[in-house]
Amino acid sequence: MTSAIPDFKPAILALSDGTVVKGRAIGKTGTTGGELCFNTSMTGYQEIFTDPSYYGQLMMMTYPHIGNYGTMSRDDEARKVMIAGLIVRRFRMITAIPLPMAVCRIIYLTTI
Amino acid sequence: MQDYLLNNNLIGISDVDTRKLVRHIRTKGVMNAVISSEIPDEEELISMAKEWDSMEGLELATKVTRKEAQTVSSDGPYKIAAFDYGIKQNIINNFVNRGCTLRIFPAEADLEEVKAWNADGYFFSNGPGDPKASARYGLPMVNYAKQTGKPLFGICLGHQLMALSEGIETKKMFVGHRGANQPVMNKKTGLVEITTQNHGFTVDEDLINTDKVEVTHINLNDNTIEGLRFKKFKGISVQYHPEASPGPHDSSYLFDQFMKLVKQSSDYEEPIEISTTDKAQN
Repeated sequence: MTSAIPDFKPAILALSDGTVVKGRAIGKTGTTGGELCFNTSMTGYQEIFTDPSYYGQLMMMTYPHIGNYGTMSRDDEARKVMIAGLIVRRFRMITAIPLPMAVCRIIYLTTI
Repeated sequence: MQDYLLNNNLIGISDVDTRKLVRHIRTKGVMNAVISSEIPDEEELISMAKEWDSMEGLELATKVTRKEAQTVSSDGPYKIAAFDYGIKQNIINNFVNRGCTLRIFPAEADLEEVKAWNADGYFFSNGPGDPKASARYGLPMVNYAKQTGKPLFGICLGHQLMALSEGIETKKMFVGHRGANQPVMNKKTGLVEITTQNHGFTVDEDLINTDKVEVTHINLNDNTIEGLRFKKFKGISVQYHPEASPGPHDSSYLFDQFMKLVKQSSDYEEPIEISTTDKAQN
């Protein structure tokens, strides 16, 4: 099941050189920090979030739409999310509910 | 996706100009930052970011490694000892799919347990943090593996540990490589692979000792070292991620290359396959 889109809540990203950027809070409310890294991959965000090499780092994704295809447990590279925080341009708050493969096949065969 | 972040206790920020921020970091160099949806005071957040621990010198592999050794098997005949500094699942899959029984040891492994496993090959995984900070527990294992005469393979942090074991220094990069589109040339074949990368430290290209290593792969964007072949022992290593996840599969041949070395060193004799074409000719 999916949740309703939460109300806008502000968040701040502050860099150690004094740069401050304001945006919208996503995920859990709180404060986190770490080395600010960016990843240019257009797809594969779940593998990136769960890559243990990113432990303790803030992950900024350069691809502007993140979350558009949801997540699947088989795409986890570790038992949990490893990044310390996430920075994105547009975040897909709600993802479509996945349909069973059999239903997808029926839809495909009846609509082509 | 909001549920996914909440379930994983992940704090994030959206609706920011990520392209502008990336250009800023690429000009100024990598730096620490803080995200907050509860503290509105900008000065306080900037000061928190300034005081946050630098990645340089930071040891993190022990925070992500498994607590105890674990065996993952395809019931295959080749035994690999893998050292988990933050090993990615698809690396494990790549070995298992190639007929390996993998014993995955934690970062601070017990040497007697490793010796008892009596592996046909040794693998040193990717992981977070400064490689020099992981040398404390990593180098004794690399050095043990070297003297067994069996082949070694390292990815990312593993590659850096293998270089450090030969006295070749690593250094922090101005801006790391993180993406799935980095072009790497295999110097032997001249072929270019598009690779997945995730590293903020690199083997120092100015301190390469050609008596000890041959540089086998280089990054075509900035000439950083991407792969080494070790001359004093049977070892290959790459800075990038041949297991992809995410990314292109151009470099999966490296697992085959390592397996060839493992098979040559192993006592296991593969059964000879008789092809039907041979039979027909007879």
